[in-house]
Amino acid sequence: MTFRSRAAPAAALLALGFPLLAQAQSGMPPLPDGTPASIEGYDTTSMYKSFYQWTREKADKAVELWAWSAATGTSLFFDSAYVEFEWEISPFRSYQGSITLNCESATESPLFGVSRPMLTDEQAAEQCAWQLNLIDNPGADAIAASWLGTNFGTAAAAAYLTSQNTPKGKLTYRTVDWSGYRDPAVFSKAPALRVRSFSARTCPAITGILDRLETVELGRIDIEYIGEDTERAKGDWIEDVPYTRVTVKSRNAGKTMEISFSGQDSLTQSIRTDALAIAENCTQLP
Amino acid sequence: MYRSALAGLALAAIALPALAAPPPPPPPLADDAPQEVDGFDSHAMYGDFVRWLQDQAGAAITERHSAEFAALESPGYLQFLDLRIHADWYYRDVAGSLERVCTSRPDEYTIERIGFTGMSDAEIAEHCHWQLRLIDGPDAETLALSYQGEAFDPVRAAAHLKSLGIAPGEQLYDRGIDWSAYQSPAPFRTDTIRVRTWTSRTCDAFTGALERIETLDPGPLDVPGFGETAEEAHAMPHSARLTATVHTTSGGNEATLTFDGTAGMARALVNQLDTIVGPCESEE
Repeated sequence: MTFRSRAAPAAALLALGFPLLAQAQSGMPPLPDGTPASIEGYDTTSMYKSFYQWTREKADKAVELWAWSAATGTSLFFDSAYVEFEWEISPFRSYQGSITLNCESATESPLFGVSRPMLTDEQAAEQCAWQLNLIDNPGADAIAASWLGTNFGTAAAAAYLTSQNTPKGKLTYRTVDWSGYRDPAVFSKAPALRVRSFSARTCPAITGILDRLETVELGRIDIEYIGEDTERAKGDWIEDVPYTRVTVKSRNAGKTMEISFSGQDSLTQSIRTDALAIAENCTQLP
Repeated sequence: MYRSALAGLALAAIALPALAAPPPPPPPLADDAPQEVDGFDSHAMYGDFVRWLQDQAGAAITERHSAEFAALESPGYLQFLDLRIHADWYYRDVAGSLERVCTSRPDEYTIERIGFTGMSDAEIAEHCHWQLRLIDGPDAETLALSYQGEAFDPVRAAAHLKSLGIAPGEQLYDRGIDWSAYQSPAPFRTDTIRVRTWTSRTCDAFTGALERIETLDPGPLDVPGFGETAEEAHAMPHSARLTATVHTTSGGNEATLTFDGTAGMARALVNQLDTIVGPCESEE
């Protein structure tokens, strides 16, 4: 609701409700030459766009759900994620992750997980460790390719819509649940989905990210066009640099302050490259 | 005290822990109200209905806030500050927005420009102004009280629960029972909601307030539990919960900062809004 982006990545445009524009930007694979404009009373183009958008949503949702699960961690009652981040590298490929403080119970078989607020400083030093969780979907592009373009199957798709009693004519993607036509569960499983976690006990680079975040001075509040505006990305899109969002929990006057940075500038990009470097160089938790 | 604070809408006063006491209980049921009706406990029904009324009053403000925002968003529009005040003294919630609104010929802007500022500096200077929009429900409590106490009808309430398929003896609390067929909540959305707008076109105080906000500095990041962490402030019983979200930039990135609590940056921002609300007249 409080969106104010100047740069306009496809995901942001979707959030604003302009899926067609986002599709044009992202390069939807074309249907084969000679595909009829209408099949069984359904407008072929809108049918395909509806399916394309649904596929994108399912690919993204799989990553999002696993990222949420990792960020929740072992904590039932306390939020254990202090840093969260996300970026896309293709219409179907995305990364989401978090840095969590994971604590283990000192006793065997605890009924509930243990969270930092339940422990003393000494117990926390012994039982808790920072952890980086990174979720992405390396197989999503291949799945999407097998469903789209020449593989879409306009006649079968139209037959599916008819079987669902979908009203004829032009479709909007929100009106159709395509899960009976293609199974979205494939996005949620290996090898399409990759879930990796790394512990600061064996990978100090994780606390290196936190160290650097703690040096970040937010600077004065800057209202656009009031006083001196600070330098900012003036909507210029930098090719091949993923638009990245990083959210950090912090404190102000003893209460929670949450900061979300979005863009292609140094802070967001350093978190992204550091997370990828950790995934590349550190030993993954089993 | 709360009532007078709301009347003038001194926001800082609302955000203060003004009353170190829990909110008063709802008025009692009528003396001759039955203890139970067809196995439904009257007090349990009443308690659930009262909670539902409180939720409806709060939802009316949230929904109106969202609707106003959706109606305003257009090229040049910029929401700088989003504000919510939740009080545990019910019916005192406030939603607000400090925003830049632009008027221009709609045909000048095409869909491609949505999502961008889409206006030059000169166009912004000519077509845009700042406004502070506050939404509350000053008469919501009076309305809610008119449905409570002696006005609550346990017989009709029991019939309503039965119509929902709820059996006598079932737990009512926290199951999200919809009481709207017993009592329409529409008046919270139509009769008691109040939307007030202060605009820089008629209020000179905006300039100073915005300039002072630009001097505020939230300081460095401080990840709780990592390194030296500032101590968490104790919760203040019965104080309102203030959430202020600011859209700014930091290090070249878009940045959204959300402050919780009634001190520090949240309080400093609200204090500046009060410098607009205090001297200027609102449009309702």
